[in-house]
Amino acid sequence: MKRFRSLFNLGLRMLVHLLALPFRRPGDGERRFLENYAAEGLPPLSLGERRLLPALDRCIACGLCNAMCETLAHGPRHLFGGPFALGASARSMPDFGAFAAHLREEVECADCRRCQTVCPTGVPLYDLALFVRAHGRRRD
Amino acid sequence: MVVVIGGGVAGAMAALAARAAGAPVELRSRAWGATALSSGAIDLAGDPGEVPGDPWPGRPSAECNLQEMLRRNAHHPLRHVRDKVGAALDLFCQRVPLHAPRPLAAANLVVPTDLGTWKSTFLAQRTQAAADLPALAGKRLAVLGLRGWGGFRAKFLAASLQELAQRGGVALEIVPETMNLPDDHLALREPHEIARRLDAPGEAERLGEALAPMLRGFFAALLPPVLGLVDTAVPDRVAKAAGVPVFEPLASDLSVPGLRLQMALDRALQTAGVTRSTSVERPSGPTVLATGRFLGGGIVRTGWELVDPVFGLRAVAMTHDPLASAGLVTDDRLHPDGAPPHLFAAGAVLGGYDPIGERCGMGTAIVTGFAAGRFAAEAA
Repeated sequence: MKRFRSLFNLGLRMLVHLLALPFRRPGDGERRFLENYAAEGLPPLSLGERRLLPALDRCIACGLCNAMCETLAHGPRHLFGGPFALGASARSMPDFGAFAAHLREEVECADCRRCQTVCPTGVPLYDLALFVRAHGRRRD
Repeated sequence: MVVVIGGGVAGAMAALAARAAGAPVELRSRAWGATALSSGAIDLAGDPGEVPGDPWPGRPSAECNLQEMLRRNAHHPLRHVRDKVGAALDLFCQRVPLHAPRPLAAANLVVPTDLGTWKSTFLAQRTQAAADLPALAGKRLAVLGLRGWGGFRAKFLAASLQELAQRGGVALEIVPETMNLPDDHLALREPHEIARRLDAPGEAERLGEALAPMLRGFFAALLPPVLGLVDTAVPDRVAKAAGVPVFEPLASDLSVPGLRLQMALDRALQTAGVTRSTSVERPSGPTVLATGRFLGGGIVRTGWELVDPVFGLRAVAMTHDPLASAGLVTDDRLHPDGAPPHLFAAGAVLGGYDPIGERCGMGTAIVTGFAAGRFAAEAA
């Protein structure tokens, strides 16, 4: 009985799909697919952007980036965790929000790029911060 | 023109030595490396016969340790440049005003760490060397924690050091004290942030004045290793206001003394007129390769081989501890096997020694860096 019901449902969806086909615009499905993912904080990325995130795996947690961060030197420490915080907040795109919100609304990145130039393992921290800021959305 | 590749202490010493020999120098570095993460101690050679429970007084001289280390390890790169140890350390102490020079006939210092242990080392930054525990026999030392800041646990440190001093056969009274930081410091959580704050005019004096009433009756105070990042006068400023000398332990992670050393090296290079670049081109003239080992990126793994990524030279594991001592093999003039002529290697990229196990890391980097810089200047 269960099997019959599931096959019936599948057949019904197939019929609806075929009947609706002439009324659909090409690319519409892809657009709706991407929209759904974007709402979850997962927009499509370029190849360069996709290569940025794994670079964070090279972090050895030495803390030199924060030590040299110009924004942290003068900025409100309790609002902004510094480039070091990227390690915690840039692991998955839906979690970009917290870091991005601070860097956009509470403090201004001084663009000194020192986090990137002192990093012993060459993590592109400044590029990553810009990337996280651009893609982070507030999830209230 | 001499090209030095590597931004750590070995590269800096090579650049300073080549510059002192009259050659124009370009130093190429991609980023900071292991030097910026160091504790402030400059190891030259540990005592191979040392046992943790041994008494601190009456230990062998640094000269003696060095001789014993080189006798035991036939592959140690310091064997090639043994005659340059004194000159290299002199130049280092002269150009980097953080460390007070010491004679090789002196025994290693016994200095506390911020983990509550002690370490024997040849040189340390002035505030750290002053905390040489055997030299403090009969004194009363305060260990000062900052309330609300977990980076330095005074109570634990004092208890641990007291016990270690007893085992080391040194009578020394160590008392934990805790002080409140002024309000605006409480939001600061990392040691270098406090250090940078103390650089500012008036801040070190403010800390010293707050300490003064607590430190009555003490010979000195051991503070967290945060006494200034760029301004080397911070410890003196604090001490003047507090009325007693202030010491620092060796630092573990997020090391302010390491940053201080790296920044002092960068300033020394600038003063000496060394040009800097981030170029990754392979140079053809006289070159010093001082790219470090694994942390600095001087030795990387490709497949089953360890190689130097700049010239593609093979790293060889020479001692019983293959990974700890993997690096380039050189002749007596620090010229690596199979390398283009006029290439000299210095620091951790050299193989044959274990910087941590043999307790000789920074010293070997300083001496081989100095020697490689001299050789490259001669070749230029």
